[in-house]
Amino acid sequence: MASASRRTEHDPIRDEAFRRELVGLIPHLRAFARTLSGDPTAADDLAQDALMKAWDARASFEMGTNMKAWTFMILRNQFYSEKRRSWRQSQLDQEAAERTLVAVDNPEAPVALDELRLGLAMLPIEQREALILVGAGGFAYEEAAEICDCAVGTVKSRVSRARRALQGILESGSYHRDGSSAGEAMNAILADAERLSQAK
Amino acid sequence: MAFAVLKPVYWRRRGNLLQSGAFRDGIERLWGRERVRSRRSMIDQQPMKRSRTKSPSLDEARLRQQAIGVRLRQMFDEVVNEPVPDEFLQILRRGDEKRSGEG
Repeated sequence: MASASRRTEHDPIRDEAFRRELVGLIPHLRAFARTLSGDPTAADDLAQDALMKAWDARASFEMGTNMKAWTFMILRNQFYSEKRRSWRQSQLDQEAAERTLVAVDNPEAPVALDELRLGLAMLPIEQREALILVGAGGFAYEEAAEICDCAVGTVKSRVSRARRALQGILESGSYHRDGSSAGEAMNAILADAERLSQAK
Repeated sequence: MAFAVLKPVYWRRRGNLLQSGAFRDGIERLWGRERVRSRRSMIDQQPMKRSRTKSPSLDEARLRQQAIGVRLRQMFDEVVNEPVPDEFLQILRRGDEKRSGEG
């Protein structure tokens, strides 16, 4: 066992390079945490914990390799270990997302994003994380597989199941929210996508 | 024979794939051209009967998937573009102090 974890001799120049790259990843870590947990406050706590862990483990990181994937893996592990500690947490994901909806309560916020957030919270966690990594985080299937510690084929099937499930949720309106009827979410998303595609 | 059936379908469907070409191009740009293309060619090879059904078409399903994809990415990018709260930077500053404290 090489003592890579012994932090007695940190190279200040290497640390500085590491820190600079890590700072650049903070926005992505926050986005991953937010989309994963749905609750902005809990998500920032999670992202901060992951940041601290990444900094403490910097000696074990091989400079020049994919730091984004490495930090996402740390965040994901942190997320799961916290989840294990608080049983029933998975049941609370959707409640957290709904609280977020109420808390935000911004009339300017597009309806479609809120609905998407709720729909996402309803997906099984393995599907949710796979979809976020590949569909939003910009990771290749291979990288996502490494982050999730599973086979590439597993990631692919999770992503495709997640996509189908999400579409089903949005079309059927099977999420619970007052005042919006079935299919409205999907229509709002289509309309927003159209607006976006024309704006660019 | 299969070829004779598929080929006209391919061209006919290509012509009116989506009524709004601008929308499709925009979606392609946002979603990734490769993916759109590969999916389209998969869809194009469906037997003729399929394209005549009135039920929600494959094009429509694909369009919805792309719209969800665009939204999902936007949701993620929204957070990426938020200014980083100072607590995050403080963590790394503290990391520094700890080091110089140790040394």
